[in-house]
Amino acid sequence: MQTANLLIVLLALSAVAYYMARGRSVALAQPLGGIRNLHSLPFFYGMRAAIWCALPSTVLLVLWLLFDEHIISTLLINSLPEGQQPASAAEYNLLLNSIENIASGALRAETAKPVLVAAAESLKQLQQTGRYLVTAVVLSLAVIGMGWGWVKVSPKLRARQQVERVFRGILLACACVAIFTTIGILLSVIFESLRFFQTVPATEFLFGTEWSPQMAIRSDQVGSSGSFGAIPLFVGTLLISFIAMLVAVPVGLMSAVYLAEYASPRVRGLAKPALEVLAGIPTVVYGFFAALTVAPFLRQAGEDVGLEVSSESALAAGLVMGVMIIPFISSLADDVINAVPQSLRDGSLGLGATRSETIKKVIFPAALPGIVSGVLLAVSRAIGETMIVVMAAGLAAKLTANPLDTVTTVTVQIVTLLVGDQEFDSPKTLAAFALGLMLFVVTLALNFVALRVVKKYREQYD
Amino acid sequence: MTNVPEPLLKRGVTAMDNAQYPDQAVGEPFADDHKMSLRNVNVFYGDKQAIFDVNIDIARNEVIAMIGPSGCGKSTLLRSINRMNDTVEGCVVSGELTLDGEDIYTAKMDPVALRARVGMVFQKPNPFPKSIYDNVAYGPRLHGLASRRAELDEIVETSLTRAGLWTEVKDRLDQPGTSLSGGQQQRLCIARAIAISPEMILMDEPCSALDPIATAKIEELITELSQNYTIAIVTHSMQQAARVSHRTAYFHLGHLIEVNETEKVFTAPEHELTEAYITGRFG
Repeated sequence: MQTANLLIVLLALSAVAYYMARGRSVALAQPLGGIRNLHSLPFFYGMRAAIWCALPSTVLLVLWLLFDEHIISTLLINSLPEGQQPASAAEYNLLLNSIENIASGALRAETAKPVLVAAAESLKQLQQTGRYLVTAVVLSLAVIGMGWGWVKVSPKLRARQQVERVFRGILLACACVAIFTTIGILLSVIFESLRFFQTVPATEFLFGTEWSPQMAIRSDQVGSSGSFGAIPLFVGTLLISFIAMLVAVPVGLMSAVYLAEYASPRVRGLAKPALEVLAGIPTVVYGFFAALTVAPFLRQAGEDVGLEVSSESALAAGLVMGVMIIPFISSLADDVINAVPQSLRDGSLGLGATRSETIKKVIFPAALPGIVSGVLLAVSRAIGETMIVVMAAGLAAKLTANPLDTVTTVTVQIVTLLVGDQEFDSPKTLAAFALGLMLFVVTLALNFVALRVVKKYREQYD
Repeated sequence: MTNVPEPLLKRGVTAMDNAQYPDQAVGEPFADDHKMSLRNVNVFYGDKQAIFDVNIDIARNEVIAMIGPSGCGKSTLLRSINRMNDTVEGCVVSGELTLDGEDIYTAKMDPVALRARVGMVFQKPNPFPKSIYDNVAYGPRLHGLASRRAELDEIVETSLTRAGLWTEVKDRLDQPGTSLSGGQQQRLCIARAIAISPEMILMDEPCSALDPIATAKIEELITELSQNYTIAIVTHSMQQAARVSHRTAYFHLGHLIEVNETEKVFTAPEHELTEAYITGRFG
């Protein structure tokens, strides 16, 4: 049976198990005087049977799906005659590939070696048997589990505890998915970066001031060695993020103060969703807005006052990125300000403070830790932002602090390094991983600081 | 309800049902030397009327207790006296409220200045998340009461001493006010209120979140403060009203029923609703 069908059947079986065990528990309770004489509610007896039915069989099925290919190919290769046995891992894969191709019809059987054709036949055979076998085993396991769940139903059975233990395990497994994914990504980035640092010294990468990631294919070509100094990229990133925060922090905070403290419910009801819409605009839209509207405008304005503004400037990207981050900061700050207890406002107003004095002297200091952590989260978002910068800030890795000049950022360089045809072992491609690692470290540090600040804030209020 | 003897319960209900709200509060609602005077005060929250036609004087340097069952409007009235109700959406106050003969609801009266003259202590201690020193210095700083640090230090010390907190906190003025115990926090809030030398202090159930020992300290403090301040206190504890106040006002569903010397209210109430309440038939 197909795996998908098998899963549907399992689901149906466990539903049956649920209703049977549930019905049995109710029936058992009847002579005792109602379900309150059961240890657990009928739902838990039903769930227990459903879990017994579905869980072991699903686990077996998953294990089979993980290892079936390996088992079948090992069996297949071992069945080959003595002289055809592969000598190396590469040969093994090659052999397996051609057998599979013959089996699927991609390679014509007439042109292939008869040994391999025979092997292809036996591969088909093995796969067939495997499928039958696993279907039979899984289904019988499900039926056995169902029966077990049904038989064990008794008023004394502590079904609730068992079901809850299983659910706790499932919750844990879900939590682990996120953690293990993070660890996996991190490890792969670290290992690729290590490979990069074997070619390019870490000191050159960290402290070099020139970025030109060109690697020649042959050693006798011109400009055969690129330079991988990441400083210009980080300076560009910081410059743009700084401009973005310069826009987003004051505007975001003040709009949050207005919304939380001054706005009438009507205005608030209109403005909050509007801000959320701003947060919902895809960054690519911001990107072409920056590239097609803001950048030319800045260039024109610069010309009018006699400044030379490059048509792709850090300023344009930073301004638009700042606008993008405004809702992020304002909604976080709004939440934090609203969380300041009303009693503090009353206390301050009751002492003859005006509204603005109350905001400045009581609410803001009380909300500050939350606001700071919100701003730090926004910074890490600005650092990681790509689309706007790709479109509006340019690609030239210039080491400059002039916001009117064109700069580039870490994320943009990662994109350009990996776009197009690439060999995956050249330093050029591996540099992307090293940049990614650096970016990860920076944002991780920022998030860490933000969390620490939040923690301190909590301590103050409990 | 189960503990109340049947006949008593019935009597209580009938007393409530048959009682007429007096057109004017019975007893002695008026005083010659009044600090605060309320005439025909009505308070509305949107369409709902919370206070009906209240007339009462609060005499200089007296402690007046406002008692009554929950929802009778005593806190609302208290918050009208320093215009804290301004911050509540849809709250309208009508009638004449005068502080030293000055109408407090005219356009000329700045609510901010009024609140500096009529301080308030709230039900739940609400120290700011600042140091003990900064909590007390908050008001004086706002109103520019001290031009030098030494003056400010003095104000802080006097206020804390008056609130009976100085000896307990003088060595840790830089610690957060929130680190104090509940009773200390409430005394800190009282110190904070008297630091700006108000003429009157309003207390909205100041002891309802405190244990008996902390309550006793606050009550002692109220008695001491009454030498210098006019105090209006809302309380749910009739014993507390009896212990600290000179006069007691009984409110029922937004109506002022009776105002009298505290002793008279608790020993020989004039109105049947007051009697029903203080004998514990409802409330």
